[in-house]
Amino acid sequence: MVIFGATGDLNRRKLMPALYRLAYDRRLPAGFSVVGVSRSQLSDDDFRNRMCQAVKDFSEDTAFDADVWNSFSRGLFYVPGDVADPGLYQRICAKLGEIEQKRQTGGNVLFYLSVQPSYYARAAAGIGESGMARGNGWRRLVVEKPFGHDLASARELSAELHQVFPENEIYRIDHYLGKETVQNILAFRFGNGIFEPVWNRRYVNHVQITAAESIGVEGRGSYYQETGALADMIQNHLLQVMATIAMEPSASFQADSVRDERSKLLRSIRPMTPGQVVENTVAGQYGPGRIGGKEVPGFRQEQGVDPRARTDTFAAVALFVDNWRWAGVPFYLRTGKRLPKQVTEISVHFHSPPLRIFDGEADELTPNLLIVRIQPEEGISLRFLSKRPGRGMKLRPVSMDFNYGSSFGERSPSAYETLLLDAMIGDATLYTRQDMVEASWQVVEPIETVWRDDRHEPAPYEAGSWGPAQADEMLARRGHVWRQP
Amino acid sequence: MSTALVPDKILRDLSKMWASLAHSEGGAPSGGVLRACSLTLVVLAAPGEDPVALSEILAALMPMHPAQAIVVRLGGSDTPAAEVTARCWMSFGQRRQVCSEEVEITAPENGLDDVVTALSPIVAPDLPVILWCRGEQAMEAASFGRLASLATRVVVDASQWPDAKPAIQRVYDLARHAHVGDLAWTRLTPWREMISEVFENTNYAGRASEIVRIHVVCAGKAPVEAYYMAAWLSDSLTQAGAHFELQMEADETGGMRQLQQVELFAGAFTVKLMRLRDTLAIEMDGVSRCINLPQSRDDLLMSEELDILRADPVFERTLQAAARLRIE
Repeated sequence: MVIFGATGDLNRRKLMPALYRLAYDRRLPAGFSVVGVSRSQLSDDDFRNRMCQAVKDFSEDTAFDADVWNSFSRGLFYVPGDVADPGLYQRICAKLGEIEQKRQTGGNVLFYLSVQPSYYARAAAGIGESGMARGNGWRRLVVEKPFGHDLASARELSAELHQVFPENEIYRIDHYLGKETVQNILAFRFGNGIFEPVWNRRYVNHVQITAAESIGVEGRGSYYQETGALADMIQNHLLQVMATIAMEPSASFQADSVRDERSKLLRSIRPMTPGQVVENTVAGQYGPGRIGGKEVPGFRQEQGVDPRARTDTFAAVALFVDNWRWAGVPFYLRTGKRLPKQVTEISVHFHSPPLRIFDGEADELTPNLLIVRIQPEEGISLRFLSKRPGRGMKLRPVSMDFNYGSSFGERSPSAYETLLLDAMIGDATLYTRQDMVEASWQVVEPIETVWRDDRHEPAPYEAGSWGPAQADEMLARRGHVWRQP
Repeated sequence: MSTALVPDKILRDLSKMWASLAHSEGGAPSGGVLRACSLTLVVLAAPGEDPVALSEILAALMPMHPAQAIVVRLGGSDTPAAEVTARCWMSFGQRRQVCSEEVEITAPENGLDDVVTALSPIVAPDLPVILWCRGEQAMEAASFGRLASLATRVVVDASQWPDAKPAIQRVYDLARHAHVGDLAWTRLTPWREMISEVFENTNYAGRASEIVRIHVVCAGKAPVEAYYMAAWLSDSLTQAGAHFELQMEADETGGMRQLQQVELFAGAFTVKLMRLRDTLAIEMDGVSRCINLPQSRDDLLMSEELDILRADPVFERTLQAAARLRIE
């Protein structure tokens, strides 16, 4: 595996701990090796020491085992250099040849681009020009989001990658799809007989998908102010989650079969006109506030952020799917930074019974709700009304809960463990395909066009709150309220 | 495990706690505990309140109303902090423990604002939130309104406050912004049940309108309970079409401050309820009957209040009547 950007945050925090855990679980082949590539001048041993520290710092639920590490780290190598330097690829090529001889890797290579998106095309071209895209074994390319910054740039990037790798060898990673609960949505919907019959407009009133972060931009201010919540979260993660929740059953659990259905769903989302954007979307930006007993700055006061930045740190959208199953059912997606807690959840709100025969206040007789918790506490809850013990027919909402953490005696693999292993074995089910990326941009681009207009200003919200009041009003117009996760 | 007052950290600690409770030492699922939660109970402890005594109250309350309990102690520390624990019990005849989670938050005396900010993300979603205010001090804080707005219902005990009339006014003001319950009102349940039974009797059904005088007697300075009783009787009898005179007599030399006696005079009959130590006696037409008064324990009173998760229309009407009451 060749990791470009090997001294970066993603590798230290996610990739290396995931690879170490796979080694710990003996899921990696004996000769598995990593070639780290980055600009810093490091020796193999320097790189190993850094990665050892990263594994110790960022492996959340895996004990550090010196024996496992020693064995794993013997396969770590480092090649310094600039992605723009053609000589770098020759050196990587030579290193791969050396490793193939020494460690019997069989010639299979997974290239992982963990560099700035502007270097993707250059890196891919370098791999192609040096002849590394073809070899004895398979050659695959993993690309991190963002896949372009709009539809045109996404197409352009794809065209550049396709000059070196065919589509079936490009793995666009969306780590949300690697999460156990997101995968479990498929098991829940298509492995059980009782949910699918009610999974449609006749029974479902609306769906809410919330991905809240309690942190601010944490030193990524200059990057984030160019991106915003809509492009950073909704264009990829949340639309993929929505596609998983709303897609038609696939004929089989083959990668392309599942991805065809996801893609079809994304293409069925109705793109908005400028007038609909005003009605069905809310952009927000956090101001200063107080969280955990400490004052926190507003977005415009964050380091590296332009004090006049109009970036959306909160985005809420109401989307409609133009197909028979979902016609008329709103899908509300919201995401934001500096919200009260870190949580990602899907809530499916069912219709109320057609006739209310029991007494009670309206907010007591709440309709059924199915909640899929993606993080931090992965699980599924079903809320329904039950009679309270005692005299009279008094109803109270109760909840039936399934919790991943306590229901199974084994830990859930991290998203990156799942996805890296899938890429190695050639299973692209949980990876995003080019047509899905384009379909997502077709949904998001009309919104971005309106939001980028000089007359558009994001609505302010206090850090630690659930976003601007306009987001509540957007739902209130259809008689709905955001569920507080 | 103690942690800073950061919601994500508290939630992570809770999650770890449940995962560890679900697994035996060896890591395999033990099937040992059932996680129970029907509401969130936020308890705002009184200043200097004995933690052990409060813990005993919650221990008695949880099997009746399993809840996510969040105990807030202001003045308990210089910096806000939180600690998570599980409270477990064994249901009768069952093998499996039932557990509910508890978060204890300590904060400086003026730290209610930070506590409120932290509470909103940690309360159990989709379930009622009951705020139990065990002291009046925190109610004076500027952010108390924010705290009350998080709650589906706020429960106080106005009988703990020194003067009845201002106490009732304060509960009334609070009721304009939230559904409110008052343990002082809950203590009247056996009295109200006995009086109601009189008029459910076929001989007296429909004769409430004949009442011409209500006489409420209390020991010590008139407590909130006496005002609630007078207000409830006034409101109910007015609705029944009675025209009556209301008298309240306080024997300020007379021992513990409590409701002592209630008399209803009609032309043809008299109803007299009186407290005799731990019993409540009723006399009517020369016939008397006596019941044991339930212990006035906070867990029992609170358990009764937790049966009502939103508005209590009878109490809210009585509260309005009590705030209007003019008794010399």
